[in-house]
Amino acid sequence: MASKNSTSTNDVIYTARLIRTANPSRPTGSAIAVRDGKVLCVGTLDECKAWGITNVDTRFQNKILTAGFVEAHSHVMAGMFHFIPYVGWFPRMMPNGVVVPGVKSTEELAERVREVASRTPLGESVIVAGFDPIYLKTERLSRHHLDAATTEHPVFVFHASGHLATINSFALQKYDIGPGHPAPGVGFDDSGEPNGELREPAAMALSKDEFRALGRIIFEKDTLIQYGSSMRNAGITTATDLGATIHLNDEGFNLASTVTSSEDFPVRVVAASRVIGSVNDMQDAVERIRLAQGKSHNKLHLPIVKMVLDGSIQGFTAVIQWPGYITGEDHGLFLLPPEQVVDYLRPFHNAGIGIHCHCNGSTTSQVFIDAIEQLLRETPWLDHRHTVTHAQLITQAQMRKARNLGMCANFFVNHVFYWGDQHRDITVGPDRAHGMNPCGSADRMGLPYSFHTDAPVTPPGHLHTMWCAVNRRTATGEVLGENEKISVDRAFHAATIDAAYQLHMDHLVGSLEVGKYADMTVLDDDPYTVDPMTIRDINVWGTVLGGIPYERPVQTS
Amino acid sequence: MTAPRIPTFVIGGYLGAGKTTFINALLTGGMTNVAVVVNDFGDVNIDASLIAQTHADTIELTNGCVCCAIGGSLADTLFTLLDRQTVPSTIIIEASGVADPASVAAYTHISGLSPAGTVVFVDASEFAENHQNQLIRSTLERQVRGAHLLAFTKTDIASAQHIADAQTIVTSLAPDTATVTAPADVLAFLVEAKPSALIKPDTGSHDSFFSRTHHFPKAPSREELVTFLSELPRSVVRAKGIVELSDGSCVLVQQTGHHRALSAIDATPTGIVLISSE
Repeated sequence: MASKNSTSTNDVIYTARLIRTANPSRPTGSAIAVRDGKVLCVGTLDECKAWGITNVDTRFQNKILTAGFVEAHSHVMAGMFHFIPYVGWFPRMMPNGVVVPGVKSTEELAERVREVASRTPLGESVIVAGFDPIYLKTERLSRHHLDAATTEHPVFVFHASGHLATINSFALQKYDIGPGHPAPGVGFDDSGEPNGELREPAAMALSKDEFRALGRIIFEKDTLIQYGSSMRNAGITTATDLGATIHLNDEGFNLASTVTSSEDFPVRVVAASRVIGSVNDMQDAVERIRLAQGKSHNKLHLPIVKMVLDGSIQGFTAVIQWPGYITGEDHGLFLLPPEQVVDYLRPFHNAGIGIHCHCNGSTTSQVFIDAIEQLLRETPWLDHRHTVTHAQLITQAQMRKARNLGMCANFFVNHVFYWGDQHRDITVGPDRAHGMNPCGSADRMGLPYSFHTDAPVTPPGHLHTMWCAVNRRTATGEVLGENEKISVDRAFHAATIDAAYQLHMDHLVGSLEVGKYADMTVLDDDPYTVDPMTIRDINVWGTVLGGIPYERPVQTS
Repeated sequence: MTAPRIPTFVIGGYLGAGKTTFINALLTGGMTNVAVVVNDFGDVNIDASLIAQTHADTIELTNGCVCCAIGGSLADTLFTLLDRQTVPSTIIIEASGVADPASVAAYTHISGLSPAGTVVFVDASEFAENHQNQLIRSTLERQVRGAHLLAFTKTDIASAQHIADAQTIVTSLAPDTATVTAPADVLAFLVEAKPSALIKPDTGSHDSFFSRTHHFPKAPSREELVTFLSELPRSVVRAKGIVELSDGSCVLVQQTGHHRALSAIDATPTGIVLISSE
């Protein structure tokens, strides 16, 4: 066999206990050769050496290397926990690699707030985020719990749902919120005093300084840097910022381009602009995306756009078909007039830009799928891969139609664990809850799908989504949707190559195949052979991006 | 906390109900120092001669008005407006065609603003038919219920049956909410800036504003028209219409309080609609 012996000093062969490529033609190997950041060869060590490379790196000798995980729906805001203390129920890894233990009671929350306040100058805001009271058995959080932590700082506790904040008495006084305050969303106790609850962003905005501080973090350079770290920690090598609002103006694009092109930045970013709200004219958005595509680089890509059609199921703002929600009031909210959806999508479809459309409800899934059908009748595009993202309540008929049209689904399968019990009991009832995020059905009918974490809504990481898709367990341990379980192999492909496919990135990432980027997830164990109930517990060492190792910082506290 | 709060209105209504038409008229119709917050500039069609400065998300007009597009979030847009060196005297937020105006109005309570009421436009020619559409029915109903003032539009092109059907549905949804049919009447509300009248609509009284149309018995000269407009009683808060002058030309009359604009126009005379607060 002839070999090109023009090796460069950057050429390297990594050996591993096992390599899982997500390339069905060559699914496993024990060594991978990298040249110019790309896969040169996957196979045995001898096969790799046939390229004349002598630089063999054995640091992963006892690790599992897999095709790098691809996250097709997350948000840069996931980097916020580097700046805002996390106070959620579940332990969570911070961007610096430290795992913060969960908060299990209102008293523990007050203790965390007290600790943050103790290192905050008097009068300055104390903001914490991720509080998740639906799991708490203790008393409902009120200003009194927070007053026990500090009476000398305004305190703002941002709940995990994103729909609620609780502030202390200091903050209530600061903003003149007293008995009878007329703003909708201000909560009161039985005696008519404000209890500190501010429901929905409009009410949260009453706590002006804290609300603005929270909003600013999303757009800061450092948040993007920490987002990259979060993704690396979770083993993600390509992360989609789905709903980016900054990339279609010069300042924002330059910031993203500069940050992501740094060698220290450990992840490729797919920047999918939420065009409505950032650009006024959709044709203008198309032109801006084309310009940005021309200036992007191998760690910043703009192949798709994001649209949003409705709200969330747990917020009762997803638009769902008959018979609607099982309890609670239907606040189903279209974010675009349904008859105008096709007009908003048309310029992108016609320009060859993939469309990922947020549809939590079954009604909005139908509206989106119908719109794509109309666009395809107008302007055929056989390879569009337009994707229903979330697709949580997509029906069987909708999936068949989506498949026929060449569409994809991106399931929010983590919901089965985090809110599955609530969906069964409170939102859509048991029948439809079992069929939520129907990976098994999609698999059977051949609808291409991925899954996502929507980080920071749930923590980034595909071992958890795979675990959910394979086991379908809720937080209380119940199986939700036995017939929607999928195999580990299918879950692995959904987390890698099938995610890359719906991003129009499968020629570059998503599998370890000759000529593609040498992007790998480095694991301590093999998801295929561990007890499926322990897939989510596999330790992530870090990643390899373009052949360069990026180790997760080892936890120090 | 004692700084004066800016009266802030919300304009709602389904797609095509006339919100943008109204806002275009508002920005160029004689009001000054008004800030309008819109979802996008797409349909806002401001005469180039009126534009002083354009930025990515704001258009400043020569009459002191400013039009802002919601970039990140509505709250941020409002905070940014409040940060401006010259704060507007009135803010008008255009809710999107599918928004629940009540949830948009919730933002008018933030520090520095004073909630002044929600006007929801109802397209008389389409409303009843749209209401049959299960897809959007709850959206329409929520919008009507969220209004302090309901303004029927397109009554000139709607059939009598369409108008009656729309009124029946709207009345059943919001029996106590005042309704008007002329956009000028809505403007009168805003010009008068009687927020309390909007927030607490007086018990079913729909006649706190009167409008009548004045036709000149014979085409006036320009001077006669100006005299007529100057001598209108103070209670007339708004005068608008197209008048044929004695020389055969037509002028568009727009008078609001002390602001008067007469512009040449090639259109059919309508007479002058006079809105009076008593």
